[in-house]
Amino acid sequence: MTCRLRSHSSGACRLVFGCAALLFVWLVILPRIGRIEPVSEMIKHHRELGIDPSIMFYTEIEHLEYRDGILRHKASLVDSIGHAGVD
Amino acid sequence: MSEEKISLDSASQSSVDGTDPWYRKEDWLAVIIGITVLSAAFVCGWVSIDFAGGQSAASHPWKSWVGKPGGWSDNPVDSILRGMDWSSCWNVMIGPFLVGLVGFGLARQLQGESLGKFALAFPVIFMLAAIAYVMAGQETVKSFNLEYALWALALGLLVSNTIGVPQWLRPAVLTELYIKTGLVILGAEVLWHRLVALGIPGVAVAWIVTPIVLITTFWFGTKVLKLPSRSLAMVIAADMSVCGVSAAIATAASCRAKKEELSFAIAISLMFTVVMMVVMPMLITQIGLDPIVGGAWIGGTIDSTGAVVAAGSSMGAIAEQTAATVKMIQNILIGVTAFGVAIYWVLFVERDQQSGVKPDAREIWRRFPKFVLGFVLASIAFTQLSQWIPDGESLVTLTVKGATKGMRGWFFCMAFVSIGLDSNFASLKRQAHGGKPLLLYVCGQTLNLILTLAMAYLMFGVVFADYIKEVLAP
Repeated sequence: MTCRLRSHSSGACRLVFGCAALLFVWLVILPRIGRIEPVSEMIKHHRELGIDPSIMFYTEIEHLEYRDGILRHKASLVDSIGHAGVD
Repeated sequence: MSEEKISLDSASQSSVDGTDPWYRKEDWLAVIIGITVLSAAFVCGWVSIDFAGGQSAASHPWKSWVGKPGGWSDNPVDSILRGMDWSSCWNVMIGPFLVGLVGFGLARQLQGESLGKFALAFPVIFMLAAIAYVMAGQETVKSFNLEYALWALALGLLVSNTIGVPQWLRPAVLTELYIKTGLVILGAEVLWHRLVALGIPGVAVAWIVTPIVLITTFWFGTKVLKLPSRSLAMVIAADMSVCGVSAAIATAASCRAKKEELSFAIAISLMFTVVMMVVMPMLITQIGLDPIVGGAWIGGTIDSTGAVVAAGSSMGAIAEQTAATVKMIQNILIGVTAFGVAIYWVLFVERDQQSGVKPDAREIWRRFPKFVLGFVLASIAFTQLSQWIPDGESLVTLTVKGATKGMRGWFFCMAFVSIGLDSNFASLKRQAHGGKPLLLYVCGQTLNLILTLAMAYLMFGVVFADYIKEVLAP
C-alpha cells in the first residue's frame, strides 16, 4: 500500500515536471525562436499569404481554391498582396 | 500496455468477439458513424444552398460549430479567445464534442459497454486533443509543419508514462474506432475527377513515380534491410511516397500495423519534412531549376501537404500552384493505396503468416478491414455528387471545408491521444530496430527525389512544358 502510494506520488511528480517542461518550451523557447529573423520572416510570409504549413490534406488549404482544375490563388488575395512570381 | 494493432481482432478494449453480429463490430460501427456524419453534413449544406436561392451559400451551417482552436505566437490564450470572442472559440469545439460523445457513446453501448462510463471519460480525451491543437497552433511549431498528431501523441505518452492511464479513462481510449471513423469521413475528400487536374504530366509524377517508390521501398525494407515487421515497412513506404501523416494513418489501419509503428513512421516523416521544406526551395533556386519543374518536384516528394504549399510558396505563386496541385493529385492516391494494401495484406501477407494456404472468398471477406469499404464508398459517392448534381462541386467543397474536415481532424487527434495513452517509451524504442526504419526512409526518399525530379523535368519541363504554362496561366 505504502509502496503504491509512493509510486503514485513519484508519477505525479514526473507529470508535473513534464507539464512544466512543456509550458517552458511553448511559452518561452518557441516564442523566442519565432523572433529569430529567418524564422520570423518565414512566419510573416505564411501569415500574409494565409498559408498553414501544418495542414494534413489538400482540402485544408484555405488560401487556394480549386478553379479550372487547378488550385489557384483566390483572386482577392492576389490583388491585395500582388504576390511575387505570379507573372 | 501491449503493442496493440490497429485492427478489430486484437482490440483488447472491445468486448466484441468474432461471433457477434456485424453491427457490434468496430469496422462497421466506424462506417455507420462516418456515413451518418457525411450524409447529415451534405444534406445541411444542400438545404443552405436552397435557402440561398440556388446560389452557393457563403458558408456551411455547421462551420461556426466545427473547427479547431486558432493560432498564437506568445500567449496560448489567443488560440482559445480569438480576439476576445469567447463564443466563436468554444462553438467550434461543441460540434465535434457532441458528435463524438453521441456517436462513439452509442457505438460503445451497441458493443455492450456502459454509456455512462464512456461519457465520463470522453471529455478528458477530448480536452487532451484540444490541448494538442493549441500546442500545434503555436506559430513557430506551425511554420515547421509539426502537426497536431505529434503533440497529441506526446500528451498521451506524458500521461501514460508518469501517472499511468486510470481505469476510469479506459472506456474512451478507442484508437481504432476514432481512426477508422476519421478515415471514412476522409473518403469524402478523395475526389477522383481531381486526378486529371494537370492532365498527363500530373498523373505521371503522382501516379507513376509514387507506386514505383512505394513498392520498391516496401520491397527494400522487407527483403534487403530485412525489417522484422512488414507492416512497419509498408507504413513508412506509404507515408514517405504518398502524402505523409494521412497516408500513414490509412495504410496502418489497412495493414493492421501496431500503434507504435504508426507513431514511429509519423515521427520520422515529420522530422525529414521539416528539413526538406526548408532545403528544397533553396536547392531549386540555387541550381536555377524552372519554378514549374521545381514545384512539381516539391509536390511529388515532400510528405506533408502543408509543407508542400509552404515550400512552393517561397518560390512564387506558379511554383506554389504546381506543387499544391501535384500534392492534391497524390492525396487522391490515398484511396487506392488503402484499398490495395488491405487486399494485398489479406491475400498474401496474412496467408504467409498463418497457414500458408490461399484463403477462399469467405475467408478473404472475413479478414478484409470493412472500414475501407466505407472509405471507398464515401469517396465514390462524393465524387459522383460533385459531378452529377447542379453546383455539385461547390456543394461538396462547402460540405468538406465547412463541416467534415474539422470533424475528422478531431477524430484523428483523439486517436493519437489514445495511441499515446496506450504506448510507453520502451515499446516505441523497440520500433527503432537498430536504425533500419530510418535507413529505409532515407533510401526510399532518395529514390523518390531522383525519380520525381527526372519525371517532373521530362513532363513539366520538356514534353508538356507549353501545355502546363497554358494551364497554369493566371
